Amino acid sequence: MNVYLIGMCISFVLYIVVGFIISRRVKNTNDFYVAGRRAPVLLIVGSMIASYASTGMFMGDAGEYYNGLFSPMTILATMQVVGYIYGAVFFGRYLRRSQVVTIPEFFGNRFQSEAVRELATITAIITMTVYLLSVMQGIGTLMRVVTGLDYNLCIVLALIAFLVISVASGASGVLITDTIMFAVFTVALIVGAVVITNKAGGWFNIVEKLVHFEGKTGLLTWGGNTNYLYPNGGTNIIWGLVYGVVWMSVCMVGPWQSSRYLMAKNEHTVVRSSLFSAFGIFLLQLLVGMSAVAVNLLNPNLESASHVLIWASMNVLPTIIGVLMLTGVLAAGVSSATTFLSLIGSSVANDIFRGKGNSISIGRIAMILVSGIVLLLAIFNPPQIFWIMYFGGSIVASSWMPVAVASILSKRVTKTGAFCGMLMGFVGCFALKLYTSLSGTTLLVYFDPTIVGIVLNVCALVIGSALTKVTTEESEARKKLFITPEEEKKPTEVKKTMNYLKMTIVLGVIVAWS
Amino acid sequence: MEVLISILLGVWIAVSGVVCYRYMKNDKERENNE
Repeated sequence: MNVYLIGMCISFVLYIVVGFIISRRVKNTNDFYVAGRRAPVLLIVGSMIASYASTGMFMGDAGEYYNGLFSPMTILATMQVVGYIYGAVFFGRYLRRSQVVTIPEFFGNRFQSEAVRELATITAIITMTVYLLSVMQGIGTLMRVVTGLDYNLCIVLALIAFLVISVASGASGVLITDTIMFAVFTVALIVGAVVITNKAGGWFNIVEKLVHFEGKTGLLTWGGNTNYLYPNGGTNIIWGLVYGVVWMSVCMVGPWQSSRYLMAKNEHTVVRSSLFSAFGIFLLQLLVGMSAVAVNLLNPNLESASHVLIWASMNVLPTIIGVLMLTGVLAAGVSSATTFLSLIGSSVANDIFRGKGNSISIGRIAMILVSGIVLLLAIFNPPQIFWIMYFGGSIVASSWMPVAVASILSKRVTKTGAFCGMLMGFVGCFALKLYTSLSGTTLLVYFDPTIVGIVLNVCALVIGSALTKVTTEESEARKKLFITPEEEKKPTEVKKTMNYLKMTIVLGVIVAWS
Repeated sequence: MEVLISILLGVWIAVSGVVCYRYMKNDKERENNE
């Protein structure tokens, strides 16, 4: 048994023990699904970042930085993290205020429509199941590469860990284990980044060396490496902007992100958490990027770019820090998986089978069944599912984002408009991605399926709403959202939250100035 | 070009901060209007 496997097994046992301890505090459905709605900023930030940061960031994104997309990825990250702030101010606060258990329930109540709620439930479950599959495959690959164990055994071990946490303790346990895992991978990444950049010559020397690096050109230039993704810098930048819009939308309304707000102790916690999460994700992305691009100076010819941080952990870092780093990457994957699984259970119990039996038991059974399905898909790994995995964020961005924003900002949007928008966004994105995958067609960077889905969503939303009238019930449901609860009006708390927002403006000025 | 990108990203963050700040500042007025 190698040292990395020992570290990973210890971390699994630790998370499971914590999950069991917290499960004793779960007294009712509110505790199980929304952590009693009393979570402070630290737990919301920890869970939001841990749910976002998965093997995708530590492997997929790291590979893009390593291959030379530092500048486009930085644009993407900057656009994306601002999505947290927009999401909290224009959607998350109202979500928290509505006192719902799931986001589909919010849509159903806002538009007074079962059809809208059902469609939102279907899209949420598909998205999170697909994303869970993607994360599970990432965890399996990581563990196989590091430990040499059989891939199937690796995913079974990981599944046991995140299934036990989610089933035993629900949202309460997921919030706390997510925060522990967030601490683990943040510390690991900070230490790892410092050591990697030092071994590569120190950050300022690295910049100098990478600018003149002959192996791969343009690693740190504005347009990135033009021998990798697109043949010119302008298109690489547009790629960064397009995916910036996609991931900004995910950070605004993605169920595994905005659902954390349902657990916040008040609306000030929602807004403040979004600011810390935005800053935290940006910092992590930057550290991943700096570490990955620096590895070019140590080994520019890695067979698989997505294994760059794994390679560095095993070949550059001292063993103990390497173990910490790889345990951290694993924690990032497991924390995302626990969030997806608990949200799937919540949606099945509260949106599909609501009022039919014991809600917690239904949620637990749903989690076990979905885990089984995902495990089978991950083991048999049919090649056809590869294109489906791209849909993790895309479906949410194209089917939810415009409707979510319009549900708050627009008086004129109707249930018909919301339903048509959500449906067209989903179908447009799905169909185009299916067509391009099956036909092998490469679309222009501007016509990414997610962008097409968003445009179709907006068109259907506008047309559907123009052809129908807002009912009194819909209008009343929206008005209720704008009534600020008395406990949210404390002047000291309001002032504090507004000061946090002012800091965002200052941060923007500093970035522009530097 | 790198400098221009840096400025634009800073402006993007700052403008977003202003938009959100102004929206939240008008919460009370919005509540009355709605």
